[in-house]
Amino acid sequence: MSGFRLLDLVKFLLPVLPEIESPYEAVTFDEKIVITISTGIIFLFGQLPIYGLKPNSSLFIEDPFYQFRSIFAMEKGTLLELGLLPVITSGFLWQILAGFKKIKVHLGVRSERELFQTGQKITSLVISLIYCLGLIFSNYYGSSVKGLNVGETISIGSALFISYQVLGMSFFLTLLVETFDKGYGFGSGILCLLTLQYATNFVKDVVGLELIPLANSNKLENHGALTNLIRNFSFNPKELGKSVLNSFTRSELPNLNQFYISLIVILVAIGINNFRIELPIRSTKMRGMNNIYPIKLLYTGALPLLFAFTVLANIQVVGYFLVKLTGNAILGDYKLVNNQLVLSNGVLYYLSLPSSIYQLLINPLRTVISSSLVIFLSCWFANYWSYFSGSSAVDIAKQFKEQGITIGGKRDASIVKELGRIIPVASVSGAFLITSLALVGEFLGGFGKAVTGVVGICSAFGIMEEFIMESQQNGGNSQLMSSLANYQ
Amino acid sequence: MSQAPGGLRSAAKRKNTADKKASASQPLSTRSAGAGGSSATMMKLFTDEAQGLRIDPLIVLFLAVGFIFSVIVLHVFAKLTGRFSS
Repeated sequence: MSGFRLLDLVKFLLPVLPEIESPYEAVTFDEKIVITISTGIIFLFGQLPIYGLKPNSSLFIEDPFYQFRSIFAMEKGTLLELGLLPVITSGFLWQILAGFKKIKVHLGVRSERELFQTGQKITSLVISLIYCLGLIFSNYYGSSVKGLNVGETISIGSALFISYQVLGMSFFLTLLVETFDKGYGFGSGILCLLTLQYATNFVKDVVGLELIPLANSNKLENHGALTNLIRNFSFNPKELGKSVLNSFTRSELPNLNQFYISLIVILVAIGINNFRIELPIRSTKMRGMNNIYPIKLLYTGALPLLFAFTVLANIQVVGYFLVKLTGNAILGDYKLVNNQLVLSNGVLYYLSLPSSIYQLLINPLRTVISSSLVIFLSCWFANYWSYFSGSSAVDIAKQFKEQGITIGGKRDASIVKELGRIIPVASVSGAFLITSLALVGEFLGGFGKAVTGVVGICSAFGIMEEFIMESQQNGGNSQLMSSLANYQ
Repeated sequence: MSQAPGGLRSAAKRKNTADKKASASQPLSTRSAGAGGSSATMMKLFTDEAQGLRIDPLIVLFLAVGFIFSVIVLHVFAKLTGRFSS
């Protein structure tokens, strides 16, 4: 082997990186449930506020990432400040590079696969380190650190404490994702945690009970939109209109508008999820064994959408650091609106999605550029992902052959052609549909909740599928299933 | 020296096509290599057990709880010292 390879760099770090053992024997159904739930609980504990910041720091942080918070579980002012962004970015990066053969890796060889996965882990850690340093040096925490006046930069001590917490959580998050991926939990780590985060936040946004003091006023408001509506409900007709309007439109905390948008988007996503083409298949070995092989319209699930927003989010995060460090106004110009740093001009402005109908109309050029970028990225990804993930027409035809299956009325050679006619079209048009749906949700004011809703629902279906398959195969021995059966 | 049938040029051609075939048949992902990994709808990063520092998932869970506990302890200390000093 000649020449320099990226993977050789990984080798040096291999002995010191913690590595989850693969299970020696098949993980039982009960164990999977226990590990999934406990991992989820630990993940949700990541919403602990960072030590060293003011109480309710989320109200003080001037937030440039408000559009991506819920998609990557980046909780403001908490341990999950970076959320799943580093892990998702590194995963997409390596797998797409390998798919395009831009890095030399022989995935057929086991030792190479080991290096490949360790490479993903290291990249994820390096990205979190870079982003964490970026957050500190761009003075992101400047306005929220305890005992700091406006305009001062944070001390080394609090910078160290903050990076210990943020990086520590990122490190453990990578390991938790690995636990899922190695088969101890259901589904993939990234999507399972993302769905969990979305589900809990959805409930919290609607019926959250905690009272939060609003910035620049002495009012207390409930976190949940519905709770807020009920609490401020009064029979005085003058007050009533105001309080109802407020619970629909408030921007510091979740509002009912977002809730309805998420709900509609979720329902439509469920609808789209059901579209599929059913190919009649039959066994070549046995007579009369007929079945159907479904090819879903969302052949690649919500991954294209997730990919498009991963690209966008990384551009915005890096862009924010560059703007803050260099003060370059051509790159981007931020304006503070209700503790959110909203882009008002510059390159980054044209690469960010408008988050209300007003913004959509005020600059049509931005709307066109940003939304066509998102749609292009997601369709491009959908087109290639079936090849990269080993589920292209050729791969499936190979599986058919191994299992002695053929499409009714087709010869072996034309199976590839038949599948090749359906799969790319299904995945690209599915990606287009679901991305447009999410974009409409964003334009109506979803603040990232619409996109997360779509990704969450599609992942939840995937995880459910795996869960049910597992419970049918070895649910008989499961104590949980048998105890549930007693209640029926 | 025995000459390749069809001359040297055709031997080179043959080698080229063989190389192309070999690189075309190389798996593009861990799943197509038959080792699990990202499927069409599920994104997975970690598939094989590497030679590094192997640990049990339960230990990871306990370490993660320990980390979170350390942050809680920081908060508690901050509360306590804040109450005594000011």
